[in-house]
Amino acid sequence: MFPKLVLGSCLLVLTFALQQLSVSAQEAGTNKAQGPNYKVEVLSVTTKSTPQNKVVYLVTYSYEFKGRTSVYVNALGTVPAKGKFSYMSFEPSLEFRESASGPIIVNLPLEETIIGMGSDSTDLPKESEFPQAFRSDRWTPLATFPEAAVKVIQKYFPSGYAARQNGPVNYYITTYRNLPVQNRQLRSQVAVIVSQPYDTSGNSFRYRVQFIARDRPRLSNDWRYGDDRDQETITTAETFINQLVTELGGQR
Amino acid sequence: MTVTRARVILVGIFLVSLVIQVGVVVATYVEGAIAAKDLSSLLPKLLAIYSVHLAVIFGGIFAQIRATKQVNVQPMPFWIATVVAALWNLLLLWRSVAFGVAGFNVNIEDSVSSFSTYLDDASKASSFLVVGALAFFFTKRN
Repeated sequence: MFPKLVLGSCLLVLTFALQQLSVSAQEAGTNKAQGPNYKVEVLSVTTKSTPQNKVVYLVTYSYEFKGRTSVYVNALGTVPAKGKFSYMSFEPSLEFRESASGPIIVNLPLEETIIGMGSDSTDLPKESEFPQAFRSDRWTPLATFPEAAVKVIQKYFPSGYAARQNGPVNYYITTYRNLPVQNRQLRSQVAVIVSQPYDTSGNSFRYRVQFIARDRPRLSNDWRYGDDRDQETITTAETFINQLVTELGGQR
Repeated sequence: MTVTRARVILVGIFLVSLVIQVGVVVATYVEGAIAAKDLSSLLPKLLAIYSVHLAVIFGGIFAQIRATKQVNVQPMPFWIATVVAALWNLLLLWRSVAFGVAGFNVNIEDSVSSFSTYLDDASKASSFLVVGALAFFFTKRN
């Protein structure tokens, strides 16, 4: 009788201890990944929805990979081995690779840290809405581009941008921002896509900048695109893009 | 007061109100505060709102246009009809004027959708105010 009681108590304690251990391990792993040579910490994750009812993850994270000069992050591209980024991601996980086609170092599923109310929407244009025309320039070296592009994007688009990967090309798609126009009855906006890499040659590649401008009269609810837009919107958007492209080129 | 005079006053209330509202919407478009697409949706909406009442009014007028006999109306029904007709029109008119003011003053926020929704809701909910009065005055035999 006594040994059975002792054995039963031991099993109960062991089960409880294992449960606690499992919970602690899960807590430690939530939005964090750590290894002998790396540390990734997701600081915040919030879900938002686009006008097309797609879910995007507004994620802020920091990372460090020792013994490397660069790593490859899905949708963002080749980045320095240590850094911090904040953007909207279409992917539910964060993936770090040795290079664009190299092995995965760490894959971290994103778990929401701030639960939204479900109606938090972000006005993110679709890639297909952008005109095909683009401006292009060459960049060297590979790893410095995302940081430089993000710096310029965040300066002009404080509402943020989304990062998406389509095959070997990474797209940074901004939300719309207002354009300063003279006509007080006009509301004009612009959004930008920066994509890379194209025509890669060694450590050098080309990047592209595309933009979409739209406007509406002040009391109107519907945005106008294409030929319906006011000429002032088109002119102001082009001036703005010239400034952005010049500033991006100056980051080299 | 004769029925004809009472009818003229009631027709005047509706027509003046409609003309002011159409004028406000057109002026807002000319000012550049709304798009051509909005103009083409708001003008038919205003006409549709007034179409039922104006159909009763003009139907009554043309049906009895040859009548020459002068018939007096009781003051009480006439004043009630005038007040409810004015009230119904004011319910729409104030919002149209507010929309027009917002069109010219960039510090006032408004939108085509909220104006359009108001016109729909207010006209539907308040049409009971004038239907009876118009039917009484414009289908009444001289």
